Amino acid sequence: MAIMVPAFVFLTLFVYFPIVKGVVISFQNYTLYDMTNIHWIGLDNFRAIMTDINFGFLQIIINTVIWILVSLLFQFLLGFILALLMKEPFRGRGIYSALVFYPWALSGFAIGLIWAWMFNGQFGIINDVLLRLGLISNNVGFLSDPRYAMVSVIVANIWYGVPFFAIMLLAALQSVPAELMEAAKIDGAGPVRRLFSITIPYIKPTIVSTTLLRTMWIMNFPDIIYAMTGGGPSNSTNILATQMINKILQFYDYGQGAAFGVVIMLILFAYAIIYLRISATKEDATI
Amino acid sequence: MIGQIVTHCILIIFGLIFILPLVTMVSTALKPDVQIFAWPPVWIPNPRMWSNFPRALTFVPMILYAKNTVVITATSVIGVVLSSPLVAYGLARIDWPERNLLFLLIVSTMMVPYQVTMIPVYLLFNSLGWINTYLPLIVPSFFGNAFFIFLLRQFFMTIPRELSDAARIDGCSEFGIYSRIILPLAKPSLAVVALFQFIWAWNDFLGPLIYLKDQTKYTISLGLQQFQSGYQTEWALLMAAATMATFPIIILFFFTQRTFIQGITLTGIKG
Amino acid sequence: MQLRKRVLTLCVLALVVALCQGAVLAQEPVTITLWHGWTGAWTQVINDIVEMFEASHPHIKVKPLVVPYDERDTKLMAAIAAGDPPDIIYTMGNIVSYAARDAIVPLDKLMTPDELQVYKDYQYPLYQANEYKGHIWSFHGFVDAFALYYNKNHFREVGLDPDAPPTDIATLDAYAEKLTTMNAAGQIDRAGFLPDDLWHWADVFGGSWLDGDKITAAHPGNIAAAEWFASYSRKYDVRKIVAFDSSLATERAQALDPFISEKFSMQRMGQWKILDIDRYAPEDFDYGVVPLPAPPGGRKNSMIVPSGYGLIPKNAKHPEAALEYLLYWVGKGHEEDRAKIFTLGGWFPLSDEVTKEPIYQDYIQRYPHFQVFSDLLRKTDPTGFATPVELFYIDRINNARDRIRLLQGDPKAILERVNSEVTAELDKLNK
Repeated sequence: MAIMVPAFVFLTLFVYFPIVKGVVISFQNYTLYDMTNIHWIGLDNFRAIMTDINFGFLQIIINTVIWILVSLLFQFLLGFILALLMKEPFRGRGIYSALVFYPWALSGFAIGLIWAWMFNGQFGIINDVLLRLGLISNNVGFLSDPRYAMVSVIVANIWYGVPFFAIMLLAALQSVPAELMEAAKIDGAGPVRRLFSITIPYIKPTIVSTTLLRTMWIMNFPDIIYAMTGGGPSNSTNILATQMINKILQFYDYGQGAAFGVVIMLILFAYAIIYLRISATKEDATI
Repeated sequence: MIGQIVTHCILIIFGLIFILPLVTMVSTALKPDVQIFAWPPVWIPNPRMWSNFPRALTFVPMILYAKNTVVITATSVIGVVLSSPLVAYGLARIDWPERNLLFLLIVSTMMVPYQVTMIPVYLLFNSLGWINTYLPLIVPSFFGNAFFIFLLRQFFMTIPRELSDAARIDGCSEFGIYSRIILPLAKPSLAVVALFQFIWAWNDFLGPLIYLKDQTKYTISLGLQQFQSGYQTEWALLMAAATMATFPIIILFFFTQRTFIQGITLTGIKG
Repeated sequence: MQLRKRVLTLCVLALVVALCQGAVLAQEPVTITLWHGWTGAWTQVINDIVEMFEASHPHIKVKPLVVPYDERDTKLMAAIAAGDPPDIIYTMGNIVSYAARDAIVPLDKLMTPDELQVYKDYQYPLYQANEYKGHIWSFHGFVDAFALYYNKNHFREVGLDPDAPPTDIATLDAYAEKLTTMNAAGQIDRAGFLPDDLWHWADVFGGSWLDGDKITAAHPGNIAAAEWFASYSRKYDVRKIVAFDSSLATERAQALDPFISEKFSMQRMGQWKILDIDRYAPEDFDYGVVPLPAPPGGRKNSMIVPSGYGLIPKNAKHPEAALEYLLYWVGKGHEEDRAKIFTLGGWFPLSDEVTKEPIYQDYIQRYPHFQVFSDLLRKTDPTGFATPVELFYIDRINNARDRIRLLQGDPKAILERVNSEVTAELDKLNK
C-alpha cells in the first residue's frame, strides 16, 4: 500500500488536477491573446461549438463516427487475418513480422507525410500504381476531392493500426490451448467452425479490450488527418479531435478547444460503459 | 498444401501493400532533387543518392538530437518499468477498499485528449521550474502510466494467489513477494511495457515541443519537422532522416519480438 | 540578543554581497530569446545574422530557437500562459489579432524619434502594414511578394511569344486555354493556369476585404474575382479540376511543386520559387516572371505581402534589447550586413539603400527574376489586412474559395455569408 502512495499523489497532482482544470477551462473565456481576461462564461463554449454553422457539429460527429468505425473495423479484420496467417511458423517469419510491425514505429507526422505524398494527385505513386493496373484512367485527387479525402485518410490510419491488432491477436491466439483445438478436430469441426466456436470465444476478452483501447486511441490520435488534410477539403475530414486542434491552434481559443475535449471524454466514457455492458463476461465485470 | 499456397499468397500481398509506404520513403530518400517531382514517379532512383543520408544528419543536427532522444527514451523506459508494475501489483494483489474504483479512475485517464490537459500540466511544471529541462518528459514515467498499469494488472491477476500465500507463511514481506516472486514472472510483460514506452517516447512530439527551449536539447521528432520550412521541404533529406529515425525501433523489435509476443500472450490483456 | 544581532549582521552582509553581485551582473550582457521558423539551412542564416548582430552589440546576447511553423502556436500559447514568452517572435501574420488583444508591445512607445524615422525610411513601403490604431506593432523581418511565373518552353510549344506574357485577365484566360493540354481520356494533363488564392485575386480585381474596421467580403471586386474562379470550374469541368489540382487541399504539402514538374504553364507564386526552380528544375527549364495580370479597372501590380513580422510579446523580459535587434534587421547604418542577409535567405530588401549595395546587385545579376519583385515593391502599395479576426476571416475566405471552385453555390451569396459570419465574429469581440 505505502509503496503506491507516491504514484497516487503524483496522479492527483499531474493527471487529475489538470483534467479538472481542463474541464474548468471549457466553461471559461480562455484565449491565447486574452490571458489577462479569463472569466466564466457558462455553457457558451459548448453552445458555440455546437451551433458553429461553418463547422457543422453534426457533420463533425458523423465524420468522427465514420473515421472510427471504418478504421477500427478494417484494422481489426486485417489484423485478425494477419494474426491467423502468422500463427503457423514459416520461413522468414521474423523479418516478415518486423516489416508488418513497421508502421507502428513511425510517428504520426511521418505517417501523414508519407501518405500525403503517396496520395498526391500529381506525383503520387498510388495514382501511378492504379493507372498501371488499369483501375483508373486518370489521376485522382485523393486528398483534394471531398469524396475521396476521408477514404484516403482512413486507408492511412488502417495501415497504421493493423500491426497493433495483428500482434495483440497473434499473442492471444497462441494462448488458445492446443488440446482444445485437437479435441474439436477429432469431433469433426472444420476450420471455420473451430474459428467461431473455439478461437473467437476463447480470445474474446482480448478482442474486447483491444478494440476498446484502439477506439480511444483512434479518437484521440488525429495526427494523421492533421498532417494529410488538416480537416479539409471543405470539412470532409474534420473530426472532433482535429476541430479541437483547429480551435486551439488556428483560433487560439483554448476554451472552445477544451469544450471539444470534454465532448470527446463524455462520448468515450459513454461508449466504454455501453461497450463493456454489451460484451460483458464474468472477467469484464471488474473493469 | 493448397491452403499453404493461399496463405503464402495472401501473406505476400499483405506484405507488398504494407511495405509500399516504406518503399516510397526509402526511394524518395535516395532521389536526386530533379527526380522528386517527376511524373510518372521514379520508383528506383538513378543515380542513387546515398549521400542524402549523411547530408540529412548535418542539415539538421540529427546526431545531437538522437543522443538527446536516447537519453529521454532510455530514462523514461526505466521509469515505467520500475513504477508501473508496482502500482499494478498494488491494484491486483493487495486487498484494500475502493481499489477497483481507483483502477477505474486510472484507466479512465486514457480517454482524455492530451490537448485538454496540456496547458494546466505545463503551468504545473513551470511552477516547479522544470521548463527547458528533460524532467517533464521523464519524471511522469516514474509514477506509472495508465495503459501499462492496465496491462500489468491483468497479468498479475492471473498468477495464482497460493504463490504469494506460501511466501507469506515463509515470512516474506509484501515487497519481498513482489520483487522476488512476481517480478521475475513478469519479465516478458515488462518487455512489452518497455517496447511500448520506447516507441512512444521516441516519437513524442508535443512534449519536447512545448517544454524544450534550447536547440541543443531538441529531439529527433522536433528535428524531423525542421526539414520543412514555410517555403520548402527538403523531401529527400526528410525521408532519409525519417528512415534513420525508425531504425532503432525496428531493430529493437526484430530482436525482441519473441519475448514481446510472449509477453503479450501472458498479459493476454483480458478485460 | 547577541544571536539576533549576529543574524541581522549576516543578513545585511548577505544583502550587500547580493547587491554587489547585482551591480556586476548589470554589466553583463542581457540575453534575449528569439523564436523563428527558419529551419534547415535557413537556421544557419539566422545564426549568422545573430552573430553579426552580437559583434556590433556586445551588450546583448541573442538566443535563437527554431520552432517549426506549423506547431509554433502550441509552444507560444504554453509560454504565454506561464508568463514566460520569448523576447522576439517572428510570425507570418495576424499581428492585429495580437495587438487588439493587448498581447504584444506597441513598439513606437519604446522608440526614440530618430529610431522612428529610421523605421519609416527603411520599412517603407510596408510600414503601414505594421500599424494599427495609431501604433506600430511589428517590424518586417522579411517580405514575400507574389507574381505570375510562366513556362517559356510551353509558350513556344503552342506558338505564343515567350517574351509577351499576359498582362490582363482576358489574355491570361485565352493563354491558359491554349496552354492547357488534355490527355486521351479527356482529362487535364497540364493546366495552362488555374486561379488559386481568392484573397489575393480579389485585390487584383479591384476588390477589398476591409474598409477601415468594416468587413467587406461582398465587395463587387471580390465577387468579380469569385465569378472568375467559378468560370474556370465551368470551363474545365469541376471534377477534372479537382482531380488535377491536388494543391486545393494539401496546402500543408505546399512544396510539391507542379510548376517545376511542368504540370502548370502559368502560376501565381512567391519570390522563393526562384531558388526552388534553380535547384529542382531540369537544366533546360526556361521561365519568366511578371506582375499579376489585372482586368480593366482592377489593380495593376498587386502583390499582397504576407510577411514575416518580428514582434515583442507582452511580458517579454527585455523589450529594449529586443527592439535593438529588430532595428538591426531594418538595416540602418550597416546596409552591407543587411544586403548580405538578403542574399543568404532569398529575400529582397525594402529600402533602396540596401538594394544599392554591391553585394545585393551581384545577387540580382545571378537571379535576375528577383528584380521583378524588388520593382513591384516600389511600384505599388501592398494591401494591408488589419483586422483582429484575421485568422477567422482568412479561414472563411479559403472555405468560400473551395465552395466557389466546387460550384457549390452562387459566388455572391457565398461571399455575403462570409461577410455576415465574419462581421458577427468581430461584433462578438467588440462586445
